[in-house]
Amino acid sequence: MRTGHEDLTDLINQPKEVGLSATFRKTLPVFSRYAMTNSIGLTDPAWIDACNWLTGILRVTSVGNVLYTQYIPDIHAAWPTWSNTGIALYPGSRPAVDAGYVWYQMATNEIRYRYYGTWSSEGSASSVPGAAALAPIGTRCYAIWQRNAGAYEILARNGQDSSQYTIYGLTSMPRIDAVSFGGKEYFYTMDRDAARVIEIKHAGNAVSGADNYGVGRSVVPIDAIDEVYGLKLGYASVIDNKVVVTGRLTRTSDDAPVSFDVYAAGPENFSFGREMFIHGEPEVMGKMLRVGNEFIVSGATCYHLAQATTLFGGTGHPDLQVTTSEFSNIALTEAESRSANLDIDMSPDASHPAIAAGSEVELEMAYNDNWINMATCIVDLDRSGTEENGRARIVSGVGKSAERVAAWSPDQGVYIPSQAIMYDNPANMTKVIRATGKWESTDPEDATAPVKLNDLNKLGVLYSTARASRGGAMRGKFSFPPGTYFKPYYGVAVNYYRETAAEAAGRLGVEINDLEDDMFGHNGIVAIYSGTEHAGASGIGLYLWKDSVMTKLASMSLFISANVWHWLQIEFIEGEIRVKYRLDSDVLWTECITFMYNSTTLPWKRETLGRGAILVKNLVPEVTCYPVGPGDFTLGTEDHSAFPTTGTLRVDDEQMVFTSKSTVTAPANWVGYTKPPGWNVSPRIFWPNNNAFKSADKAGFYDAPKLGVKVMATAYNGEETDYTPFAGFPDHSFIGLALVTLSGGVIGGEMRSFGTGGRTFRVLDFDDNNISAWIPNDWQYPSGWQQYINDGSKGAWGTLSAATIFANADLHHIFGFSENPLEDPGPSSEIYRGAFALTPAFHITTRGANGTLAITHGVTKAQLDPGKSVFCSIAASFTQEEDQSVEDALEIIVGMAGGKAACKTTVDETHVFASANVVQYVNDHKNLICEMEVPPLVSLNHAGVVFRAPGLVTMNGTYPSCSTGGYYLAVERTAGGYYLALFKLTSTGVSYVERVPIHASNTNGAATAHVPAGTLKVSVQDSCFSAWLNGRYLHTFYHTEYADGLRVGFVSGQASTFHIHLSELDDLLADIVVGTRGNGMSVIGELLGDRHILWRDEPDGSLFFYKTRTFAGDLPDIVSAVSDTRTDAMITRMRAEGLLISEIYDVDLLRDYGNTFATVNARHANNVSEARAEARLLIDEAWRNAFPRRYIMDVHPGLQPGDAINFGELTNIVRSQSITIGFAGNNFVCEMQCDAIPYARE
Amino acid sequence: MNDYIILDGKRYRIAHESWEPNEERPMTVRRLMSGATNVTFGPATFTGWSGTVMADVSAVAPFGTPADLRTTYKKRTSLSFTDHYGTAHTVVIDRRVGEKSISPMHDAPDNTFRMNLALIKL
Repeated sequence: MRTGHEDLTDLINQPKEVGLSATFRKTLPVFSRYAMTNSIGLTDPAWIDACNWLTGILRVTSVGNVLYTQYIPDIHAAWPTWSNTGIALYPGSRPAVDAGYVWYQMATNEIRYRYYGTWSSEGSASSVPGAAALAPIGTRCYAIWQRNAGAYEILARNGQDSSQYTIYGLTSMPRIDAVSFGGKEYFYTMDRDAARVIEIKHAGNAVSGADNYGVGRSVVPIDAIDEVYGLKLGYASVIDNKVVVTGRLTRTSDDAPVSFDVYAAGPENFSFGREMFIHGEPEVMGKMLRVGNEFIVSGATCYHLAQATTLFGGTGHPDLQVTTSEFSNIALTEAESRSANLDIDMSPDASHPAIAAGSEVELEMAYNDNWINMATCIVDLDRSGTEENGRARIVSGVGKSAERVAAWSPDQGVYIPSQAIMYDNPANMTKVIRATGKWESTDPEDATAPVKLNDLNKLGVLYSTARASRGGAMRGKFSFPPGTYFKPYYGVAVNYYRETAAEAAGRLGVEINDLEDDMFGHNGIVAIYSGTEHAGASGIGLYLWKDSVMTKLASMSLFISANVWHWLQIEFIEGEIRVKYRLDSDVLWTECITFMYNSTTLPWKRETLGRGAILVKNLVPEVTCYPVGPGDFTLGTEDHSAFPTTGTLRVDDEQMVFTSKSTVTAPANWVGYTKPPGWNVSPRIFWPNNNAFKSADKAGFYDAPKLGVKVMATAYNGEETDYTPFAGFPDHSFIGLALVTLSGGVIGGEMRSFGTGGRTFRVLDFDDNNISAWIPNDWQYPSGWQQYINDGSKGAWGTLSAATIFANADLHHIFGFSENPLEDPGPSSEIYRGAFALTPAFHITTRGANGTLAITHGVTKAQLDPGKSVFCSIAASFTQEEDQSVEDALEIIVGMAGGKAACKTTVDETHVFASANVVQYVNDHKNLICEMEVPPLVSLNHAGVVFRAPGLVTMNGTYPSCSTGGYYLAVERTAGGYYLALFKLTSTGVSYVERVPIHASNTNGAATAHVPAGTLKVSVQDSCFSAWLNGRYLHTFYHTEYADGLRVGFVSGQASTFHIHLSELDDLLADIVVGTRGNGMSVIGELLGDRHILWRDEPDGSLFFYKTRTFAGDLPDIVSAVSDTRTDAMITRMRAEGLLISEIYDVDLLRDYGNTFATVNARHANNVSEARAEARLLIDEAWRNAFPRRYIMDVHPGLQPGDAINFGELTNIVRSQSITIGFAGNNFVCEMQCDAIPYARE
Repeated sequence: MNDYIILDGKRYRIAHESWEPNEERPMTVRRLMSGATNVTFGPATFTGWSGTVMADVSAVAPFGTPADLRTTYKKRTSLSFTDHYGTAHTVVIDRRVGEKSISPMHDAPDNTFRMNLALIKL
């Protein structure tokens, strides 16, 4: 029903006089340029702020770092010269003015203001230690300044601020302006050098710590990396009932760039349709103001004037509108989901310029001079003609917003995403991507089993496949096993970006084909827990991760016990970083690190490609180990003192059990010579010896050729006489060490390169230099010499002059010697030496342990505790973007086109809670998006939203309760702390599920504690419940217990009054996309199609969207004719197919009308019951459409399409209606034709 | 009070028995299914005059002749009109004018033409 129809409806059954008028208006402001001069050398574009003042405008600027003012009492007269105030300004600072308050930054950096009407007195605000651009709102002031080289910061300067807003990546101070509108404040600035104007919502006015910034949102759609489209900010102002932002639009192409000054009307949903142009050259970018009946945009050398229109909701210039009844009749046709059409049989002599195509026409009718607005259209046709009876003129209009939307084709694609969520066990590899590392489920048979990283001492990274974003949160659920030697190192990252192959190759200077997996650079903001993160002790470290290099930003002490499941979360919202921790057994998150990003390096490698990531590194003792064959049971290593004496090692993919390790000190190895690959030191060069030995104290080796090796430790210089390395080592030294051999070796005077292969043996004994060896007489090394041992005719026992190492293997052959008993098996030029080293050793008892395969290893790493790993059972990422409902999308799209949209609401009111109470509604779909204003809370109190309550919610004390369950998501206060909490509803109240502090600590050192204020948006989507405050992401809860529910409501635990909003169109829209190839109406059609959303034109020209019709009461006795039609267009069976499928049939219809089957798309249904409801709805609607009725009746001024009204015997839904008032020839007609369908199923 | 009208600057006498100033009050009378009657009045009242205007062939100014009246009728503009009360109006002549000659000799000096017309007040 049209608003305000009651007075007319009361007259409808009485003889009454009908009145009719049409008001035509020009809505497009047409600016004309007027040149002017200034005496202070300003050129356009200039930083000139302005405000309304008395009869004209007041302007301020800085010239030569001196404050100038200019009051223009009459904008049509010659403008006065600028006035030098003599106030020296901080170099580079920008003064500003609002409501007569002139704000400026003194040369001393103090921020002060003077009221123009009483200039002599001066007020002050907090200073900033750098040049600031000011954005005042009356006596309060905000400033933007460069806090560090990489970022600019917006903050309140009235001493009660608790937050700030940071903008990264700019190289010069952006313009800024602020307005107060609708109880909130809006900041306008730019976040790209290439020009992109963003709007930042702010709630609380920065009073007493209520200082809540939203996140920047592009005023008009410009992609973050767009190089084609730029909008530079001019200024922002409130005109009539809109926020008007001016700026300079530039678009490039292969042709010359297109550039002109523009305006857009907001806030929040900005128009950028037909009305946007101010002028072309020069670039002015002045503030738009309304002075009397004119709009003015002023710059340094010119200003632009336009007669005011109703565009911003105010009155238009009288010259631009006319109200007339100079027509003989009108026909207004309205229908559900079709735009209204108005035909006016206009007097051909009506000559006002507003009566023209493109104008707005508002049709009003009256009964006995009680007027009501019937329709607001845009004149799309103005047809004049001459025929035999004379001239005729028909002016036709289409519903205003519908016309705007249909005519709007954006010059830039619109993409507004909702939050991207990933919440799953990371073993589900469809939702995470392995960036690096060998990850596997701890139990492949169990889908919920944690995932672990098989790598030791190597960082493993998993990142989300969910859509990327410039900010958000990453959460992980972790546990780790105990261990003396195992050290967990793990964490979470946001803004994660793994560089591409091309980027990695370019950075490293290698070919793409040569890239290894671990050569790709990792980037992001990372929170790491380990035993050494905070001053060498346990804690969480916060790092900037750039090209795989982590730079610590902050750290905090924290100890986490082993075998305890817990959560870590990192958030990055416009530079504000918070790291939180929660034991899984606890409900409360603890804010561990709060940090405002301040590095000169941008916090993103790719702003649009940031994702959430999980990082794990299993830290265990690790030592370089040397080549070993598959059958060797001694593993040579470097210093293994950090290892226990027993344990399990991982060498490559093989596991080895060791039960002891060497305890003696290995002789120092040499340095400075050619090293084999992977070796840190040069190996020794030894003579292997195939001799027979006698050594009384070396039992077991005596007369045991091939078991010893004569060691002549020799620096390789062609000489072999250097025993120094073993000098001083007594008999039996080195027992237990590893004797590591290498392939390759030395021939003659040349060092051959060493291979990586080789074997390792254990030193069984050592003789320091007195062993007896059999020395044959025949130095030609006859074969079979062994049989002549002890045969004096063949040789003699002699004492060797070198130390001898006894190993557990015949090394002679291993080094490739023949049967020659002695060293030097050839000419001196071919002296062959074995290469090996004495190293610490692990004594292996089992090779190929735990199902691994014993293989040959080269120089590699031996790692302890291979089975231990940090476990991660949940990886969850949440981007910062606020969820957009269908309602939001419709308002945005229609608003951008220059129209206005509203949706049917379940509730939209400022609700008075006289005491603790709940106001609740039936809402039988599981997912929803709703909003409420956060009221001022007293300590130990709360306010929030209940949802998925199967039954009636009642209050139990200050808390809601429901015996059958449900949830309560609330903002709560405990003393000075504020929390966002999720409760389960119980029969006696609530029980905590999870509780997270809201802005627990300030990031910029402000002394005032933070107080949340503004609009809380709650999005309930399956098992994830997210909340945003003024568009700034707060938290996402996850819970699965209550998947459905009938009731949703708003709760206050105290007496308070706040706005609550729940739309009928509260479904989530994953993203809002408008391409440049279609028009707005096609986008809306696609949006509405499968959702079965209806719409109609409203009298004010806006579009009204709804799903259910509203019962509008009884129709007065005005029907003069009715016709019934029966059609056979029934549907008796229906299959609704979406994510889940429901097929139903109507037993009565199927029996009476037979089988008529249809399949419909129900892709937006969240569960079976919603799919079933969709099918039920469509069967009923098909039945209704089979029984159309047409009524001829007097004009009911209140009736609208979509109204359900009782026509006496039947209640019908008005699908369409046509009103004709006026003369048809000499006959006067005042008639309404109404096409309806039954409201209720019979 | 005059015994003539003035149309387009010329005086004419009228056949008083046929001359009818009229007031039209547009309205819709709707007979309803219920048996009730619903009445809606239009927003305005329309004034007009209809009847027979007499024009003597030999009329002497300021009275108009049939030719004068024909000239007036052919105009496609608004006309000045003064009624018997001396009240001035702006009118147009409705679509059709019928003229009847009293004498078979149309141009006889004593002949008079009776012109049936309707005036619509603007």
